[in-house]
Amino acid sequence: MEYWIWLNQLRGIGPVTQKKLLAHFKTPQRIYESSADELASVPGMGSALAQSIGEARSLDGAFCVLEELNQQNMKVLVYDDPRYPNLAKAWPATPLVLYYLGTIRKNSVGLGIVGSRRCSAYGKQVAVEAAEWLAQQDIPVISGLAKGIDGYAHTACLKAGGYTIAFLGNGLDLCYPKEHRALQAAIIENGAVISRYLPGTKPRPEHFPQRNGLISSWSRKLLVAEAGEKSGALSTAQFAKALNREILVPPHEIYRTSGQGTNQLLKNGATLYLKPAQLIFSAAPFLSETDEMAAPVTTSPSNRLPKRSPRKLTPDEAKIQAVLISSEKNIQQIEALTGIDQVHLIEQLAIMELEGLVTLSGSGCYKLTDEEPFY
Amino acid sequence: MASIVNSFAISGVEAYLVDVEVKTIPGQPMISIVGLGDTAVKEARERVEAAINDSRYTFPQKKVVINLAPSDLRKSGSHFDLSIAIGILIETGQLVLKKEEKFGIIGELSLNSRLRACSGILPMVIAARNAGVKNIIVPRDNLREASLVAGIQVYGFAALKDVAEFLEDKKPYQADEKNTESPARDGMEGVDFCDVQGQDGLIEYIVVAAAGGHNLLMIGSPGCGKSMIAKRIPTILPSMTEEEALEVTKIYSVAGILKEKGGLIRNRPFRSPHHNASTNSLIGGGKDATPGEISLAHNGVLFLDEIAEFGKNTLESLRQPMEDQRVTISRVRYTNTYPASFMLVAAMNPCSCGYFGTDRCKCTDYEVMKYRQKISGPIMDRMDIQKYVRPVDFMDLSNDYQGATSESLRQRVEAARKIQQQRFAKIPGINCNSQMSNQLIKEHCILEDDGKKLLMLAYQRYQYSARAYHKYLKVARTFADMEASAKIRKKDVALAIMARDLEKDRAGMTVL
Repeated sequence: MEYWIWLNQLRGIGPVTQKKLLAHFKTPQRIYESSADELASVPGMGSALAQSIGEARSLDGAFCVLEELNQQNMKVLVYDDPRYPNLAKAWPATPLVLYYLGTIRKNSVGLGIVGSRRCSAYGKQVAVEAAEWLAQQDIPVISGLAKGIDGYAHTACLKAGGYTIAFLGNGLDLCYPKEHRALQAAIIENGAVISRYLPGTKPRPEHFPQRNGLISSWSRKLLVAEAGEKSGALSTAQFAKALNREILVPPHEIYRTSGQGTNQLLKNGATLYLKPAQLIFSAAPFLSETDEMAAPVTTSPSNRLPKRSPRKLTPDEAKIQAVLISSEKNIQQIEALTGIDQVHLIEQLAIMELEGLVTLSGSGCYKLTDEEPFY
Repeated sequence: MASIVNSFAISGVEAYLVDVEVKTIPGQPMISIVGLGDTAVKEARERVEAAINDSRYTFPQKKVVINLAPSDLRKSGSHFDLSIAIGILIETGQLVLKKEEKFGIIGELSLNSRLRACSGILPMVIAARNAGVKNIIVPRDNLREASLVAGIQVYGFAALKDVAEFLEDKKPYQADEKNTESPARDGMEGVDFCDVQGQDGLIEYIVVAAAGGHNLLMIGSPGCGKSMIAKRIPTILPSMTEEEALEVTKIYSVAGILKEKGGLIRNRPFRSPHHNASTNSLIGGGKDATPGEISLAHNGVLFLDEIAEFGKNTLESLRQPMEDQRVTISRVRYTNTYPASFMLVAAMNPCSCGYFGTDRCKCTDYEVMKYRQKISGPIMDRMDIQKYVRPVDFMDLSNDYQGATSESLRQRVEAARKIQQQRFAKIPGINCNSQMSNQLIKEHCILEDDGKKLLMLAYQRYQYSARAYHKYLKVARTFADMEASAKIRKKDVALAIMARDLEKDRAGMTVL
């Protein structure tokens, strides 16, 4: 272990060269024990570099790191650990050593969900729906613990009882953003928080592209829920593209700045994301969808009514239901269309909401519930 | 023997009888006022001397000692001037009392011997009556206020000379011709609930809040009409009883802000302190422990606009007065207890950007929660009704649309209040549903089976606490009272459950 950390901490050589050395010498201990000449014989190694590695031959630093990690109960995942996913190794710059809290399960490759920190309710809905669905399928949700989409994806996944991994751009002992302290703790309980940085490392702008690379490399597919023109999520998407991972993007309104980055991704060939079923990993994810896409989009009102009504609706309730079939409406619109006064409407809507026939959105609009009624 | 004149001093909202004793002693000409008076009392000597000279009396060239008894209670105010002046005139033999009866005397003197209006007249006149004083002399400008008290003869004068001549029986009292009656209920400066358009659903909850005395929190984006609605709440509150009106007027009298120095306050107070208000200005305080906004809102509405911007300590300080319906202010010199039974109406934005729920809002759920947590649990808990105010689409509103008038809403409120008064007639300190204890809730909030089922459903769905459960019952009780129903029906429960939008929001947040 200490040799791994020693190798990882070496100045002047990055993950790519480290891997070359590893490929040549097989274990970090051998690298440690080899002479400068032996090192220099590896293709791509300069003699100066080999010299400097020879001079840095001390494990003191590595033991210090191990000691510190031990004190904080942090664990180390090394490159040849069976839990280190082969998929992640596809990224040439993937680090040899990762520090983590929580548990990394055997099959931890999952689906990345990333997006803006300042997201719209729409982006949030996309992320939450996807994360919940993934949790139900027991597919890990991979994200970056940032505010906004990342946070919603983790939270929704955990709430639905799923497994989630967060990659950080800082040391594991810090929490960034601070508001996610509770979330971070919950992820450690039911997943893992992973960082390539030593404890105490502050979140710095140059750390985040590295973190984005990790997110992409651990994701079989990447869902970019919402991204503006300069969102960091686009950097994650770039990595994913370089790694040949499928990028799924929901469509956004073309006039809205909040969705310009994602729309651009779509234009550049990302997959159009329309429903969570597309997130499943399989060779041909589109076969089943095409049939449904062909189905008429405009369904007639009668077959959109809830299939099973637990009780007979009152005439007023039926009226409200009829009004809400085409689109969601606020109470004033319902009033205008049904002719029932607001006071009476609240009463009806309150009962209907409790019984799960309608739901109230944050903007004050009522819509019919698609799922089965509440009881 | 010293000459004694009756006057009064204020302590809190109550007053007590003070004997103003005047004695001249041979010696160096000087005047000394003892009896723990404050600077305003001490300065009376200069005003009195000037006024006596101005009225063509002579100020004694002797040592004058004035004692305000009881001498061990602190006194403040300029209203002792007139009694001191009269006392000096009697003591020096320049005024010979012809009246047999006992007179109470209140008034501040100007340097040219005119009488100026003072604050705290109402409690002083009440104290006079209670002390058995049958006649009281007040400045003419305070006549209206003093006349509110029945069972005492009130005389209003404009100058020291007039008072002296009246007491000597040289001149009969001439009653003021001015109409002393104020209108039964002043117009509310033309505000009416029918101005509020397209918010009928919300207004229904406001009517219920008014009817049951429930505290109300309105949440809405900037400019959606929260303040407009709040300003109209006093127009639907039931009229104050004579007793309530006197309580309010007394507080205003003591605070020295009785409008036009007189007249009974018949409209329920509406106080809306700015969110920069200090704890002391809200609760009461200052060196004289004067009433704060919560006491000035007694029997009325305390409206805290932008409640999330108020200081945390300031808000927390409201908790105890809201529970006790009175507040005790302790200062070095005074400890006063003021009534503070008010309906708290508050308004806030749903999140820091103000547009939660619309596309404009980019706040994360954590930020929304953080913003809302500025209002602590205990305060939020006291808000029985928490409603969203949705912006109205002005293009949708037809011009001939007319909402319910304040008048018609008030009648419904009064009807519901009447039911509550009968219900709680035998229980002291409880006037409306919002004040019910858990025991009373059990006794009076009887649910029909349908209603019980619905409440259980909501209980499971939104994971309410037991405490919240009681809140709903209270509000549901008021909804039932609005329609004079003895039992709480299903629809009352449904409406009550919709009364707490924030709690529902919480259930929908994607946070841990």
